[in-house]
Amino acid sequence: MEKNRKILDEALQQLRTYAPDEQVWDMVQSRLPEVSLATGLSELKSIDPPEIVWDAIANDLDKQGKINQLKQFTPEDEVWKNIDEALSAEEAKARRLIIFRWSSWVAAAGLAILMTYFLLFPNQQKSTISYSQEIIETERPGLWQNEDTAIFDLLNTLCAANPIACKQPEFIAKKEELDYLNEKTSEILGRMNAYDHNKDLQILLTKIELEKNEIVKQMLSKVM
Amino acid sequence: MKKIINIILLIFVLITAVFVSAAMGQTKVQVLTKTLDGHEKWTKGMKLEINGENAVIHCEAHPGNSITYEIEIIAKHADKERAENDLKKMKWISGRQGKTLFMRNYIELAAGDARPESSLKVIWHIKIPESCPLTINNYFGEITIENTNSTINIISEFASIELINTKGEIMVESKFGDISGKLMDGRIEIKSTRSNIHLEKAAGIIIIDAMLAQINLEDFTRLEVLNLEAEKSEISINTGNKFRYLLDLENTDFEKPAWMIYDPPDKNESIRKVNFIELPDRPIIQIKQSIGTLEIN
Repeated sequence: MEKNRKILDEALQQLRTYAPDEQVWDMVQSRLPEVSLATGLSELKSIDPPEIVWDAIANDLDKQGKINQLKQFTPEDEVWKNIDEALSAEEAKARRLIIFRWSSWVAAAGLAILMTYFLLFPNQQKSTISYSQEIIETERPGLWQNEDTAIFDLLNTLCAANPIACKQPEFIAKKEELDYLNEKTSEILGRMNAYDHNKDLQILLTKIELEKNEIVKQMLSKVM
Repeated sequence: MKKIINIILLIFVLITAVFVSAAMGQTKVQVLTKTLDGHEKWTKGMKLEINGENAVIHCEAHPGNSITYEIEIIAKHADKERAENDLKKMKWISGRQGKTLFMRNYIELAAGDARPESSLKVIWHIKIPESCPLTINNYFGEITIENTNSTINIISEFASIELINTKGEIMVESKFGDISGKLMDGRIEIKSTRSNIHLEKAAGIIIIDAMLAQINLEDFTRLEVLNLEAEKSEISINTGNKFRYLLDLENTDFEKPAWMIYDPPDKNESIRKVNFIELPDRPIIQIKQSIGTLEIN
């Protein structure tokens, strides 16, 4: 902040005023860009291009010169006719290409339809359903009823009385064998059907039952 | 009048027949059979793999370069509608993956569906080129293979197996399903559990590993080696005095035939040798049995 502002204002008012001619202003204006351009140019770095650039410019100029030196030539009518025919052939070829593309698309679409068909109907097979009736012998109900519960109860009672015998590896192995056979018996019973003969399965069940009996006898002999 | 009496008699006979059949425990069953057939082109190197369930599979070689099939899906039930519905639950599909053609039948149950009440069975009639390798997996049912000359691989449970005039590399693994073979030739490997084995006129290399089985081997035609290992089994071999024997028997009842004379045993050797001195060039039958019986004739 100026402390003696009033004194300064009075001093400035006492100064003489001077207005330059219009010509002076014109000259200043015309010389201003030149000065800035000259200053800018003087500040630019100068770089010498490599030889290869000069060679390329020289080649280009040489080519231009040679082209200019070429003679003018007017072809005969036959040449124009040949060119015309060649152009027609090109057009025909283009037309053929379009037809070929279209036929490719049609073929691809056909193939896609065929593939879809094979995916949906993978087996080229015929299928028919026929119907008939049969009279079959029904089995005695409860023929293969599970009667193992009593045996297991007996084994459990004996094991409770003689736990050491039931922990012997031989007894455990027999027990595992018996469990396996019981599992297989259940599988077979699950497959037997009231509307089937089941002869082979029943023979198999008989064999398994005989084997189970043998195992149970051996187990009992170990605990009794 | 006579005509009326005849009609009454006929009705009486029919009613009696119905009551008698009922008393004998007979029932009328509705049988629905769906038949599918088709074929697939076969090229060398292509294999066939069959996965069956409740399937009776008949497979035989034919001269063509194709795999042909005829599949019968049978549903039986007293109620026709029930049989129809259950028939739809038994599916049969086929598809190719690389050089393997897969075929499969199975019971398809939707969520909450009970198992079909009907008796469901699938009968396969397959014809393959003689040299088409074959793999069969089956759970309940039967398998019959005839006249093939290729690799056969069978894994089954509760399914009987019959191989007739089959040559090549044959591998059978069976549980609770008897195996019978006639005129088999090649490398035959059988692994059986609770499955009886009956081989007739077998040739080549035979390897058997059996448990709880009746094993019956008859008339080898061109045996190279028989290696039989059995446990808790009854073995019967009917061959005559044509081979060398190596017998390793433990807890086995064996009464040697009159022609069989043991070679002098090696030191500390429990295995008994027969014909190694007498017939040194003959093929070897090696039997290892623990618990059971052995009969050689």
